[in-house]
Amino acid sequence: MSMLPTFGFTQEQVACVCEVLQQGGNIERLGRFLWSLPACEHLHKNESVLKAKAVVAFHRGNFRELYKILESHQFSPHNHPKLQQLWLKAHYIEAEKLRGRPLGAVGKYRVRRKFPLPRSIWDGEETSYCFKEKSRSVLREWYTHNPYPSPREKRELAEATGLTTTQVSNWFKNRRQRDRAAEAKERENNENSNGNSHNPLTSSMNGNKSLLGSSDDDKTPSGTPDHSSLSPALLLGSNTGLQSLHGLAPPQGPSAIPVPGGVDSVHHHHSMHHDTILNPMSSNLVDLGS
Amino acid sequence: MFQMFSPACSPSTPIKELDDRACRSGGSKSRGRGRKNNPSPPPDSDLERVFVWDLDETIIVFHSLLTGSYAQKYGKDPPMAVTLGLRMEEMIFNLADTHLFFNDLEECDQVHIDDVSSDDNGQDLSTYSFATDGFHAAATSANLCLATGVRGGVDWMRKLAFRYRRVKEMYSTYKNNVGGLLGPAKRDAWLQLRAEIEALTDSWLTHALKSLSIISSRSNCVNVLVTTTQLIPALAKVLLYSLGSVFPVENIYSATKIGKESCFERIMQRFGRKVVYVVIGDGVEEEQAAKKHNMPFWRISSHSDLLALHQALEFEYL
Repeated sequence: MSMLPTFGFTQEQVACVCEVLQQGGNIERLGRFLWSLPACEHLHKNESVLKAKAVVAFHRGNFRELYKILESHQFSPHNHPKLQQLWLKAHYIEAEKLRGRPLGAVGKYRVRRKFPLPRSIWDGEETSYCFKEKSRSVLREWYTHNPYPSPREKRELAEATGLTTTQVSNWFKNRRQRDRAAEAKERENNENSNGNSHNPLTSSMNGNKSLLGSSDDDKTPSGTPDHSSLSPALLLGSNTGLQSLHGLAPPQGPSAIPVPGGVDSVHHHHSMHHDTILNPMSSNLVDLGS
Repeated sequence: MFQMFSPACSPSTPIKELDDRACRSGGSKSRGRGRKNNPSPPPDSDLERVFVWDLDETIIVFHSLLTGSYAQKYGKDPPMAVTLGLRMEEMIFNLADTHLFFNDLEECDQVHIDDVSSDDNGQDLSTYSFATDGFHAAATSANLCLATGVRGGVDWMRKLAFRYRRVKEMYSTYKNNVGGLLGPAKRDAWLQLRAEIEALTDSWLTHALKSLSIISSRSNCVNVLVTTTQLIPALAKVLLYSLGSVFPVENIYSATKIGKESCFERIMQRFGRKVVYVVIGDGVEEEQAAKKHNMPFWRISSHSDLLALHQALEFEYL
């Protein structure tokens, strides 16, 4: 294939080709295209070109090169997710090679701790939450003033946070439920500490009370992901996750976690619920905590 | 409904969480968006690229001839450009009126040639008299252009469907033989006009056609047209500019009523998410629609952009 006498593509056109080949999964062709580009510094600092180079480097297993590219340039937010994936996948693969066998959840967590995402491809926000910190703080602020926004207020909140009104409604509903659960737990603990059987499950739930409870803001460090940040993903990250958990409770009786009143009478059932429903989950929590 | 343990929420890798988040926070999954009557064949399994073209000032030079902006930009004789534009305009609407029922259909414009086919009963049209079936009279009275079934309008809708079916047949028959449709006298005038326009525009259409032909010849690529012209005149333009061979009639969409973004969505529904869409145009509307759907955009603002596109296709970069 003969080279063109003069290079015929504008930066925009180069970026377009890079994007097309990436979307099409034609990484080999993309590599050839990049190789054919003239050695113009300006061109090679173009974000689409750099992204393409990163993809090609990953594809070829050239991870040193990949990390170098990802760290060398401040990428715009809309490219972050994909580039974060490349970073993490590459590190997982390298770790797996060293280990000699596939990585489990804990192994991957350790890799993420050891090789935190560079700020060039990460805005520093906690990655385990669904909504941005900005949005969440708006919602939290509002909640402290009034936990029951009207439909109109929900619309305003949706606009202010960039979420849908359904997401806002769900956030408030979940938050209220979790506050109630936390409150109920509080009361139950006070009774527990007044003697009788030490329920290991309850105490482990206590230990993670802040996670079950409403506070999605404290207990999570900024910056590096911590073990507690994984569990919020389980419990708080999803709009429907905990809700559906609660949804399973009714068949068994008065209530599971959301207990507005009458905690004392159903205390026994209460912990049984935890046993059946939450046990698998709490065992995960315990593992990660170790 | 125990969503906790669905793959999207499992306590494993943040990669999944990131993916999941991308899906959820934007609510961008377009599920079950009421599919319009689009009896196009299902997408080919080996289709890889869909090239979505704008018509005016991307493939053809027409509107900018009339306004004089082309002449101004490229230093051509303005009155000459306008004259050519006017002659072409006359040919376009002449063809549309004479052979494509534009008089009847102007008020009932559709987005796509198959959009009213559900009202068709498939009867043989070889001896049907369009001139005397009372369609025009009915259309001029009251609000019978409603697509939703108006009582007494079913008959009218069927006649409408017949017309679009006939237009579809005409297009397919004459797309490689416009001269045959025009008749000998008009044909000569048309060839002459085309030659003059090519000369004035420094072979703009010829260059565009090179890219269109490469795409058309590949089995894993298709050309789709999205234009802000109404459908019937758009078909006339396509025929008169000899683009019929690179655009099957089912691949032509008019954005007059619903806008380009909605057309793009229909196209994505038709061809699916596994193909790569490349948008080629000169205007803001298609650029923004492309950006919205994360489709790569190739801007055409001059001859060199057409040349570069051709090169990219020849070298199989696109």
